[in-house]
Amino acid sequence: MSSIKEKQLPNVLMEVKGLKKHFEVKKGYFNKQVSYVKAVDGVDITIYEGETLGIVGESGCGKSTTGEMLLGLLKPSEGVVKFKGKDMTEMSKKELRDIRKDIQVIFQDPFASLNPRMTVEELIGEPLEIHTSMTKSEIKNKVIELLEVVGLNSEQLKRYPHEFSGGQRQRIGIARALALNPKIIICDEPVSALDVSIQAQILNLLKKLQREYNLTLVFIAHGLPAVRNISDRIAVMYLGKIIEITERDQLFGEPMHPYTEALLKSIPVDHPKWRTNCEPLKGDLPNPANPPSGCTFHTRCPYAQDICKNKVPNLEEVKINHFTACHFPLKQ
Amino acid sequence: MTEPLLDIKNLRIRFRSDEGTVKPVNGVSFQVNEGETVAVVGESGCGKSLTSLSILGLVPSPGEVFEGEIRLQGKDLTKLKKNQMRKLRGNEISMIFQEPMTSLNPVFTIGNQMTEVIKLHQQLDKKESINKVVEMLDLVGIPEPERVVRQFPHQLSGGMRQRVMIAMALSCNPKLLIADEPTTALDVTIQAQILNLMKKLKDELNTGVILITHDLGVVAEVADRVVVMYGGEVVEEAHVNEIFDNPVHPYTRGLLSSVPKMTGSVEELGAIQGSVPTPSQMPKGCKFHPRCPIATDLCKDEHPNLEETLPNHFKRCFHMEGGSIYEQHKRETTT
Amino acid sequence: MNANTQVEQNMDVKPHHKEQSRVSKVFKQLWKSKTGTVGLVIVLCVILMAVFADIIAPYDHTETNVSARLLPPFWMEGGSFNYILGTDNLGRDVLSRIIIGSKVSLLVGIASVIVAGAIGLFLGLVSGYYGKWIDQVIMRLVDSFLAIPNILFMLIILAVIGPSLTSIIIVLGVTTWVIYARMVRSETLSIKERDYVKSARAIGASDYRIIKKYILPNVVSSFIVIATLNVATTIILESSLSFLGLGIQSPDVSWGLMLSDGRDYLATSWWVATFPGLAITITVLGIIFLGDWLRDMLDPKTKS
Repeated sequence: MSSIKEKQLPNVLMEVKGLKKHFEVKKGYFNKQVSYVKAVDGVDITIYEGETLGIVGESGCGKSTTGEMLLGLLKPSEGVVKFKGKDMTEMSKKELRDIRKDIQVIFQDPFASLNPRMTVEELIGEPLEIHTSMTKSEIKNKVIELLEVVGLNSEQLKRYPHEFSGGQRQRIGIARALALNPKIIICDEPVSALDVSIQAQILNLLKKLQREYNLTLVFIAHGLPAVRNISDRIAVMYLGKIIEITERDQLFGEPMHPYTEALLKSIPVDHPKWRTNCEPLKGDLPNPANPPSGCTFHTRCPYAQDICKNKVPNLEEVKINHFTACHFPLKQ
Repeated sequence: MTEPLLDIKNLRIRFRSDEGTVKPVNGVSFQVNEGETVAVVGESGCGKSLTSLSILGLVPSPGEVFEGEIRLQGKDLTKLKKNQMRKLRGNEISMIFQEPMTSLNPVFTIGNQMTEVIKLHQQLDKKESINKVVEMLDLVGIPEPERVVRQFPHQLSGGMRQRVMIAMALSCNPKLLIADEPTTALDVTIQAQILNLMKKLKDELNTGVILITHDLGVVAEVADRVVVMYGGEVVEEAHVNEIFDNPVHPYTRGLLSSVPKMTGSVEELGAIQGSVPTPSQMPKGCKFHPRCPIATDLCKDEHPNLEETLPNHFKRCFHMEGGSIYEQHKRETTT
Repeated sequence: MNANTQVEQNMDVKPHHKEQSRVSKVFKQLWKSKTGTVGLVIVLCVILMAVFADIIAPYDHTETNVSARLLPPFWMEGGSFNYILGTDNLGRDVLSRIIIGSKVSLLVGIASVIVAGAIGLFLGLVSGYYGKWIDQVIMRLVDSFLAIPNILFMLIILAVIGPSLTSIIIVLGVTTWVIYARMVRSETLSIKERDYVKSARAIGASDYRIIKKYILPNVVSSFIVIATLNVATTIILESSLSFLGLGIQSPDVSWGLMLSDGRDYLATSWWVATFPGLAITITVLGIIFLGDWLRDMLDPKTKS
């Protein structure tokens, strides 16, 4: 297949439809009142093979919950998560465990995501031990190979996680995720706990690995500059919903949702000479347990009108490959 | 301005333990003028937070300042007794912390906590101090301050809490405000609000601000002057435009190029190789040499001094003499 | 706050000179902690005493001497070096009885902790990891155990099955497992939510594997600490049982039994009860010191 054709007809790797996750909140011990926090409230995403999809949003927007459901670690309250056409929510435990080979994860905090009582060799070798019939020495060789791929020293096999710096630990996490040649890696805030100079190393490494292994990445983060740096397409989430999704340059060049616009304006400038005094967005994020009616953004939106308070806007393709959920999409 | 508001000279802090002595802050000097915002930038373990804590005399035990001076309008703070220092805190110098969740006491109302500070340092009665609190909350842009006074910290959002912290810190009209990563724990849209508030307050009050941060975006937004720290030392110091236009130290350059940008093309980031050293394994010579792309043998053995290579632009590096603008400047001054 | 954690990270010294064998490292750590050293010495002495009790003891613990009843310790008037710590109401040597009693006291202390620990560890792990109805059932069981006064419960069982060494160990074990179960459950609950357990699930690890490799090793350090401290508690509990007459029965001897025997003579011959009491105190202190040190030792941060 020619490369042009590939671009026109990308293969769908994962497909998410009507994904919802409502967490129960119980009040009172005897007569229980149950209310729900709608952490994820109707998300549709298609993830194409070989792309990097960025998911951005502020705290409580449901981006990490979405990630956990993509991984199959969390059962959706409603909706479908299809991996290569098969619905993960209907798989048996065993099928799900098998499919985990293909869907891997990198976590935010490298200090919390590695078992402190396992050596590097055990940590990276474990997925191989579970899913393959490789012998001990084969595993060891593979681990050494993986360490080199992520830029670590193979002499460090017998060390424990606490003997490494944050960046090195994140590399160990990446090697562990890579061990089984997954199709897709969900990166949940993989750089936000790291020092600035180390963030760049990890971003570069992820980009390099993606090219070399033809990986699909889902990059979940709150930092827009990092998402811009790595993603092909970007989805913006607000209070459990995707409010805009499109290609990177399109999103940064012509944001259509007022929230995206405000988010872009909120990012600190790259250079002091571009300072402004505008305050892009007033007010606080609403409580996700009690979201506003209609368009959930209407309480902070500078363009809100009456219809926004009552009617929930749907995510619609306003331009080619540019979806937004707004009654009055911005025109540049 | 003849005398700076704050003058830190050759500050050194050590931690002694059975494993030996480490010096996470090792000869830091910089100044803050009235009404000026100085950003202290660096990665974890560079000593920036310790430096700021030492100004308040709050270096956690077993750490101690063992050399150097911290002069606030000529008065050496390191020589002050405990109770003298306490009078200074919250009054002449105050501090905002990173985590607004944990820096407010959850069992008292906002009004309670704020009047506490005011009563401690100013001779005001109850009613006057409540009025003062309301006035301060209004200043930092909190809607309905009369209501917020009666609320508990958990009833406020993170952004509102940080506003309360700022109001509290400013309530005694301090000469110096230390803000330790004030927006790191906040969401982007809230961060923009807080940064905007800080800019506004800077214009209204004539407070000197030390802004501790690792985020160069925050620096670009609010700082007047930038002090870059690495390994317990100042490696570069200059005006904020100068730092962004003409960084001289290889570390500053690396740091600037490793930040993903919001504008321009998306390229490979210019990462600094290696990892951030801890004070217990600080290399000899120039602290940055193991990670420096232009290090030579000289850098391994000799420790460079902080020198003024351009007017008001200091760097601690043997090389990089030929920063293009520097050469140009030299040519201009010699001819 | 921020600076504090930063300093901690800074202080965390990484091992350069690599293999300075583990054993010597452990001893270095031990030497640094003075209380730990004291604790270890005490505990070692007691264990040696128990192992070689029959050799060390100057007399048999059942040997009576009617002509030498209630003799005071040697430094008091009427005391002699034949009976260094004096004799009891039947003329038995107090020192020999303490030495031989250490066997039972220590055995009961350690064995019942093993019984209780095994039950508690298992139920705590299951309860914390699987949650839902299993957790409900186990926790209600724990609640009901907590609601009944321990001693009363033990007395009832012992009265029914009759006191013997084995039954005492079992009874002590069965009544004290609750502590472990609660501790292990709460630790499991928090560890279960950590990212590294999520990462284990993400690579497709089975429940058994997650419990064995991820939860157990991370629970075990707090578990061991609580267990050591509970050896002390159980020794005291056994004393209480013996004191109440349902513990170790003569001619066997334990420190608790000696205490109970001596209580009638407390006013006239204080040494009969005081010395075994002192033995309990010193042993328990030693174990507590050792436990404190173990806690520091098993913390991965202080380990290297």
